[in-house]
Amino acid sequence: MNGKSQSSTSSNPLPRITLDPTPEEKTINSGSGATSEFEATAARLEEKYSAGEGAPGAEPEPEVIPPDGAEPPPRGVVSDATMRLILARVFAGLEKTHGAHWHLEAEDLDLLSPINVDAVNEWAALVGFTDSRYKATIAWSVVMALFIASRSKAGALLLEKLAEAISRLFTFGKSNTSGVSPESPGSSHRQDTEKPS
Amino acid sequence: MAAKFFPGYRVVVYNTAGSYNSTGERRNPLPGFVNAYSVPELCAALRAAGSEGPARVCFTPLRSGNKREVFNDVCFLVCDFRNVIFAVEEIWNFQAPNWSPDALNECYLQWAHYGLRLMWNAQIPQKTDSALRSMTLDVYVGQFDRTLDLNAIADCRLPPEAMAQVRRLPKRKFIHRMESGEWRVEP
Repeated sequence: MNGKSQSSTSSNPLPRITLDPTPEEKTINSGSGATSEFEATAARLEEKYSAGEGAPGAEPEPEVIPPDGAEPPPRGVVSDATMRLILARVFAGLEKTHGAHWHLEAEDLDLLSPINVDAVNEWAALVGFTDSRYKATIAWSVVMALFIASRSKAGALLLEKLAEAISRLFTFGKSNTSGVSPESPGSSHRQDTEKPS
Repeated sequence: MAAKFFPGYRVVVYNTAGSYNSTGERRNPLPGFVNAYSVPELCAALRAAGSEGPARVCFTPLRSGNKREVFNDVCFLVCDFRNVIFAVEEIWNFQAPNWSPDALNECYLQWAHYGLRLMWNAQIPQKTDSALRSMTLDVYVGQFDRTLDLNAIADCRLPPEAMAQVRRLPKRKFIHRMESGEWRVEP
């Protein structure tokens, strides 16, 4: 038993214990030979842990099954409706501050919400968000960061860079030939924010 | 620890981590011991032994309920059983470095008068109660090299020259500090 500290509160080797019962102990012995204190404690514990079903802490939490037809509760970090609201607010802020090219239609929101929900759930699991004690603080920080980014020029530029990088992932092999059209809504903003050469 | 409690006439083993009488590769068999996996089974085994008969019970508290509550209840049960060696495996599961549950305090501070002898082991001595460490009469220490563990072991009243050997003890060798204060390295 290497790497182990083992001890006893008596001398070793432990001898066979042959203590004679005192007269008082003899008087309290029951018919089976056990003391009345032991019998009382054993009876109390047998009742407490009877059949292994009433053991405290032994029962698992019952699973809550929603009734037929009812929608199951959302199991992710954020629901579709909440994500839709956040996206709508962020893009509305971007549109108001940086131009109409940030405008997002309702159907665009319908398309964007599920993939954003999946992304948030994946990243939340990856960084241990669900186990964190600071869920509210982290969620607040993310929402505030999005809000500030949507209202500032630097934030908008950063979001545009990210959006371009992501869109490049989906247009792999075409980016070298197509480029951004001068008439496209994004190009005017690019010209606004790019440094003069 | 099994080698120390095995010759005992009345022994209750608290098999916290399930390492005794297990079926795994690193099993530590306890031939002749009755296995109990619930508190009622333990009560029945002890009741059969009576107040003077031989008792050799290995209690494995797997899924018996709340870990600390079960341990407390078994401590009280063993106290009332009397004249018994109570061997607790990995005792730090029920302690903090400066705290033990009342039931365990009774076991090693008061019930020796009724023939209760507590044995314990811990692979993480730093997590055991300092009062238990300092009150322990007979100590076996294997190889340790972490500072916090070494500080905890020093509480077991090992002399400095014995402490100096703890880091470089070979496998399966133990420093045995006896009740008299003498010490030696034992296999």
